[in-house]
Amino acid sequence: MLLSVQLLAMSPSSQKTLAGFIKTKGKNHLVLSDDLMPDVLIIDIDNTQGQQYLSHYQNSETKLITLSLSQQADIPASVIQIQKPFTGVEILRSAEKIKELKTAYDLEKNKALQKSAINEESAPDNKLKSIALSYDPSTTFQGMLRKAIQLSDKKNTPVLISIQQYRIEIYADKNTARLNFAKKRLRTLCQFPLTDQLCDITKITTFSENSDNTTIALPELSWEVAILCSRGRLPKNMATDALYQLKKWPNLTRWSQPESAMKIAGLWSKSPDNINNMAQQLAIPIEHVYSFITAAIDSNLAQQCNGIAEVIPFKTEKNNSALFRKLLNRLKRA
Amino acid sequence: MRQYKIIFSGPVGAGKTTAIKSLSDIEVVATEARATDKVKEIKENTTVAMDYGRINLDVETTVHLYGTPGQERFDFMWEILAQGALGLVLLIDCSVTSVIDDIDTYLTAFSKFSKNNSVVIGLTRSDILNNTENLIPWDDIHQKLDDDELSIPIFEVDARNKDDMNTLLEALILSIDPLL
Repeated sequence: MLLSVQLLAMSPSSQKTLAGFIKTKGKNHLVLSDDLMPDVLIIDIDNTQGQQYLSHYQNSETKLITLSLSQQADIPASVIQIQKPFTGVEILRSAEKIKELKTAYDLEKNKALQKSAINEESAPDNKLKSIALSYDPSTTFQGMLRKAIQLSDKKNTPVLISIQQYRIEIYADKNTARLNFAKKRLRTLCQFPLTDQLCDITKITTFSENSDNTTIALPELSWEVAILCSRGRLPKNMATDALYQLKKWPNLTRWSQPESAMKIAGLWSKSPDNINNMAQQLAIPIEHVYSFITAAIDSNLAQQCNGIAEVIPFKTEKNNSALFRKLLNRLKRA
Repeated sequence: MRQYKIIFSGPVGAGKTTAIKSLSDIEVVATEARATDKVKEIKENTTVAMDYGRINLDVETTVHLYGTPGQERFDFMWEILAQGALGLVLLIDCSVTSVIDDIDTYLTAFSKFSKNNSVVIGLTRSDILNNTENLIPWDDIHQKLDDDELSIPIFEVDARNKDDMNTLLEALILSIDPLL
């Protein structure tokens, strides 16, 4: 069994050395990964950022296993610790310990899931499910991005988000952002809970002249970040029985297409509707609607309806259903 | 034999002929001639009647793809060609300054059709825009659709790219019937 690993709070040379070891001698045990939830975080805690990460993940809900690297002999807060200077053999021995821990964590998680499934059967109104599938965006990069956009808009000034080596410049007046990294690295930023200690949001005083920076429209950035942070969950402040309206379609040839996106957009663009109803009418898992609506709201494509809004039920006209199904199947196969 | 059609329209050089080529199961019949008016500044040849391609779904079912000529002096043909169509694909060149005017021209020209039928918009030639570090004017485009009270699929597409064109057609179908 290979363990997926993320390296945090390391100097570039340490990161390079450890990554090289994992790719060579460690390749039968460990693999570097940008997965949403890696099996283990290896953190250098001999710096402030590393200590903040450790403290944060020890207290987080995600139950990620942390392996701390430190010159100190004993770190009480660590799950597993290796004292510097360390050898590759020690890393590999720790990998074995981590596999045992992971098995125990997975068992615990499965028991909890089974318990919530039993509760769900006796609570057919999906209330428990929606509690289990809710999250607080303010503890994610999504929340930090929202804050930065609001600040840039309110103060009519560019704003910088700094997280480790990642820089995101927000220009609300031009509805754009600039990243000093490739768009695919957003996944890394959205994987972990974030707090104000780990993330700086400041007004920009000096501008980067780096032409390698990636320019991206703010709606697209907000959409991608919301999809990555939501992962099929709904922000705590959103009600499943409130009416929402999709005003604009997302640019689905270039933006990430969460599951059932096209069907949700097709139905929702016709009339305001609530989340539960959409999932039922389209016969899709409610998690698909959660992801879509979270992203649509954040990217200003959709909004909650205020006042009186009417749901206009959609009825299929049977005339061309068979044709459309054939054509859809053909388009998806091609 | 069951026969249906989808119409592709939009300004000169937006990529209609190319889009049909990307989707068609047969060699596209393109009715082109050398351009002699201001179109020659954009391209050497231009469509003067219509382009024709086809998607064969099975032995009994065919979807015909028709591309209208882009020059406005042929606009009398547009609504005629659209009659009885499953839907309309508008391709708009987003690298030009007249993108909003072009959207307005074609939505107006097909206003009768679009009242009861589905329309999707593909914004083409964004690769040219990217070379200039400009972005597609999404805010202005969305404002235009807002003003017209339209909530229709509008995607960035490369007319040469089959995946993009498939996604655009998928949106056309699912905007007609999302419960499929």
